[in-house]
Amino acid sequence: MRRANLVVGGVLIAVIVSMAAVGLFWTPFSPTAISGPRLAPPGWPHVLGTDGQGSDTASRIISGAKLALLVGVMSVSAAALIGVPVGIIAGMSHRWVAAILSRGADILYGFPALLLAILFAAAVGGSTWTAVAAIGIATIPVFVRIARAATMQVMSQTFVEAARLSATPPLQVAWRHVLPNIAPVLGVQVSVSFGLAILAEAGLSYLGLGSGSDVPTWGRMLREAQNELFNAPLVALWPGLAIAMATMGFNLLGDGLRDLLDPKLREIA
Amino acid sequence: MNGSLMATQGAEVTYRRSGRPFVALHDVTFRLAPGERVGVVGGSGSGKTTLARLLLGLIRPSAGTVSFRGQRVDGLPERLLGDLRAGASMVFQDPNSSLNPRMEVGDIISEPLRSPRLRRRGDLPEVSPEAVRAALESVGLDPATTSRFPHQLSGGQRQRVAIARALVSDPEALVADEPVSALDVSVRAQVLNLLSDAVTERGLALVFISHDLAVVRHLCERVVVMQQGRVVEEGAVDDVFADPRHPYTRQLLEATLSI
Amino acid sequence: MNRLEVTDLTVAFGRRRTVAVDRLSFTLGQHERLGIIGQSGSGKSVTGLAMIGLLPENAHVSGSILLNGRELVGAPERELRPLRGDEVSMIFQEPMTALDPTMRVGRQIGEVVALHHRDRRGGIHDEVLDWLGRVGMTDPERVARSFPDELSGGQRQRALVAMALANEPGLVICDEPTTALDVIVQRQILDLLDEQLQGRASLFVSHDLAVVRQVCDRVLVMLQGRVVESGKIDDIIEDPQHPYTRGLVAAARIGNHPRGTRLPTMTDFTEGGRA
Repeated sequence: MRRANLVVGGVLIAVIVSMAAVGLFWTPFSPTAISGPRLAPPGWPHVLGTDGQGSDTASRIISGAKLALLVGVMSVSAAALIGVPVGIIAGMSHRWVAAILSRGADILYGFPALLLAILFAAAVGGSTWTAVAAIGIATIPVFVRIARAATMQVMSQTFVEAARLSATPPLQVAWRHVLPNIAPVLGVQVSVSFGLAILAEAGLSYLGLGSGSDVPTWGRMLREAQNELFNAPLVALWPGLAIAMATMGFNLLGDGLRDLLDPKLREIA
Repeated sequence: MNGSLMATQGAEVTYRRSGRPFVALHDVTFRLAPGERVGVVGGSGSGKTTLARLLLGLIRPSAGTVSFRGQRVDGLPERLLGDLRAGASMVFQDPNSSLNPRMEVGDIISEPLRSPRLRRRGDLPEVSPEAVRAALESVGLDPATTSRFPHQLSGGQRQRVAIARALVSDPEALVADEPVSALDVSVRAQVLNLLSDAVTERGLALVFISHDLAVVRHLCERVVVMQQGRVVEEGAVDDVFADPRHPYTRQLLEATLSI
Repeated sequence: MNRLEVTDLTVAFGRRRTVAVDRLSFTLGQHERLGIIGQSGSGKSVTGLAMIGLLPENAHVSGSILLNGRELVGAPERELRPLRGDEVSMIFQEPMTALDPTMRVGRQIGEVVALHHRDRRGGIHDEVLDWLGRVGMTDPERVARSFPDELSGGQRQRALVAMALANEPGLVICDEPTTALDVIVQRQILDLLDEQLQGRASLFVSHDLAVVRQVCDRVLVMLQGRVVESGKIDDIIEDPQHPYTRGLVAAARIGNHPRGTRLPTMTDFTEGGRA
């Protein structure tokens, strides 16, 4: 099936999103309270068992979904809201402005999210917001690059010349001609970056550079599970699975969208 | 230059292609009088499209001058070209790339009317569904076309939209760059009739660029023959075609097929 | 035996089975040149592609195409591949998309030759130069060394002609080969084709009657997937029967109308030709 990527990715993401949505209102137990014996195996009432403290694993996974999506949405939105306009300006401008903006983005590109997170954590202490900031800033250059490349391609089209002949102001050209035509490409990037953001957040909280200890995140759950790996390996499985599903879901969706965008063999009518 | 609507004097356009200079236009002097119809013919590489872009202020000459209504326009920044933008329009060759695929036809046609710089001229019609409907009717398209997208139209219909867009700002000159070359032969006549009627009704000056001599003869009074960036011959269409002086003109005439 | 015998060929696309070619039948003699004329959407290009088995995956083909007596409809790809280049070849409209921009022209032509004659390893380069000379290149060595974007439109099209003829196929399908060229180069390429297609059969697809007339003896007029008229080209031009054909002939005769008069349009003759 040609649309396999799209479908599988969509399903995986739907599962994660549903979990998070449910988690807004209800979790089987409180994710942070001790509600059962330590390291209980999956059964009833703890469907996925309990962790090293005795908290319900399923509730913690659901809670983690909320956070993962929150971090994803905030960091990718921020990155896109900053990166896309910069990229469009770079794509529409003459050489030296574009050069300055591109070099700026490239410099930023050199700072991986991890480094930024460490810097922020050292400065103000690690939290969900420092994670969002670090990941967001690290994602800006990607959007600048993609937006710039797509903009340049649009600018070479004749209809942009026609807009110039209509004396359309540059802002209008960006808003009505460039943006609608680069939107599909940006959409693909949003999906891909979302997956990367979730992965990055998991990594940061695994290292203790993200959310505080009272906020259950998948990364933190992995860290805690490490200690109990020989006693109860299952405890590591669930957060790992959740991270994998979320990341893969967004990646596949991005791939599926990219395939959709490719000029297909159009039906010769 | 006096009395000319559009003109170039000794214009030269040089591009840099991988380090080496490429002369697209060399010492080209061209005049267009109000209401006049001039054909510009030549093969590929003759510079005719470069001339069109020069006349419309889309590119700068590396030497020589370009003027509109007697005022120099070469080298002026975009914000001072209001007169030129309002007074001259262009129809491009490729109906596929000259219309924004993500814009509705109605918005495409009315775009010139939304430009603040053009509106400063004062006599532009307001942006309204009526104005768009009138524009569509004038090119023989159904009013329902307003909400369609370019990919839903045929090549001939897209060119009609392009013509409607070019005419909506009520220009005095129209530059048509091979407007029917990308269309099927069977469809060209409709678009050519449309162009001809529009030009006659509005008393427009027309620069018609083509490598199809039969069409040029049908539409234009004067012809300019270009080869490799130079003007090699010009004059009244019937004279030039009946008695071509330059070997390139003769070559063009011989190559023209007819049945 | 006829070069091509097509019987009730029907090509439909996609799930909705949009019909592009509707029960088309014709024959092509061993050395005959047949033009197929029609506007976009008439099915002419699809017909050309069907003859060489290059239809897209979502095409549903029924009917029969006999190429030198061999059935093409329903034949698997591994049977069709050896035919291409050797028995039937195609010259496309856009040289820039038919040529690989990253490969030198000489090598591309050489690959076509090598495909069918692996034993001739040594002589391939000479053969390539020979062909480039035959298609009218003044400096075959330089052209062979060049990349496609270093050549002019006319040179690229000549290279395509060389590639199509290199293995001496009996049938050459030309799909609007001069549409993207200016009038002088078009004339040169048509003269070249006229010369090089001697002794071969050819199917010439175009929307331009004047172009078809340069190369073909007989012509099929297609409208919405069907043949509406067929016959010798001069007869058709002189005395067109079907309204659509009359419209085509009139459209090709712009020169006959004085300045300022209205040109006859396709809708004057038929409803099927709205722009």
